Amino acid sequence: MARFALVYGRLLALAALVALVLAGCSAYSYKGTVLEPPSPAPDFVLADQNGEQFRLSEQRGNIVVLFFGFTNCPDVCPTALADAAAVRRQLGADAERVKVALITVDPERDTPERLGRYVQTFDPTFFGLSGTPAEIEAVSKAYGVSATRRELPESALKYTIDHSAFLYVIDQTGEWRLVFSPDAAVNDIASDIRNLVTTGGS
Amino acid sequence: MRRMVWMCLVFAALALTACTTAVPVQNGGSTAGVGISVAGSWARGADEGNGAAYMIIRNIGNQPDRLVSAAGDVAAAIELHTVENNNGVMAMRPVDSIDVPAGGQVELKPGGYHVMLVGLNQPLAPGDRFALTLQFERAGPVEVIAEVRNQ
Repeated sequence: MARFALVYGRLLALAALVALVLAGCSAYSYKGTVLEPPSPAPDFVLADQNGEQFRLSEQRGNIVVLFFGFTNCPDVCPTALADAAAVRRQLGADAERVKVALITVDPERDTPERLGRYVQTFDPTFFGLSGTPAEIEAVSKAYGVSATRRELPESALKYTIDHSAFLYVIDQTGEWRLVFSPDAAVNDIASDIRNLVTTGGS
Repeated sequence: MRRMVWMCLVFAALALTACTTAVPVQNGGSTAGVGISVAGSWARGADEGNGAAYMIIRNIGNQPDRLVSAAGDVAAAIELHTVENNNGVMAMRPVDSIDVPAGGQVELKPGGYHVMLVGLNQPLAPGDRFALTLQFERAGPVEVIAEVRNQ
């Protein structure tokens, strides 16, 4: 009888532990800004660095991370892309289903070739997307991205583009789920994306 | 005993000399420029176009100083810039100078102050090193060696 009680007690303890762990899983709290309720990510078609069409809605099954920037941007954009590359490294095998794309807000200067060389210095799987100024403007507007050209007469740069530097995360089902601010930590982004990978975007 | 006092004096004199004429050399650091010490100079890898260099500048003197310019062969033009974060809209702007308070430090880092390398003359590959001459208002020129990293 005593033995039975002991085994029973242990089973109970185990069950409690499992319940706790499960509760922990379902109660994952995202570190990024959550879009609640999630809404379908605005679809778009742009050209990738190889001249192939990149249509967002054809990325179902993948998690897509979008960043708007430009290759002449020496500080903010490389920081965001280096972070995104670090996130993919941290995800290991889970990174296979994570696609990162830079959408240029400077289509005049950023040719597909230049975009390709630029993004691939960070991660060979990255996409560099461009289009006509009108196409870029439409995508930017759909994602609430502000991009304003500023003349810099006193700088060798001639001009810069003030732009929203968020990372936008779209899940496997095409829902826009998360936004990360420019100063988000790599660990936080990786943790959130890993949760999306394991929950299948549900 | 007398000998020990003597040795202490020599040591103290040496230590004082070290303080006033030189600053410990650190990785990516420099020794020139009285009162100014620069550590951890680095730049992110870039194959063309523009780059940015970052570092920590310490002012161990008792007078405020300011970084007024930077020069080097690495790029066609080298400027001082900052980044303003206006609710996630990042705006990069040239600045005339970067203050380094007396006894304090300023960190040039991603998303903030940086030495902007406009028009790289060579690709920056991880492991490469390049020289920059920082010009301070009070301390004068300070040579630093920046290391290229993919960070």
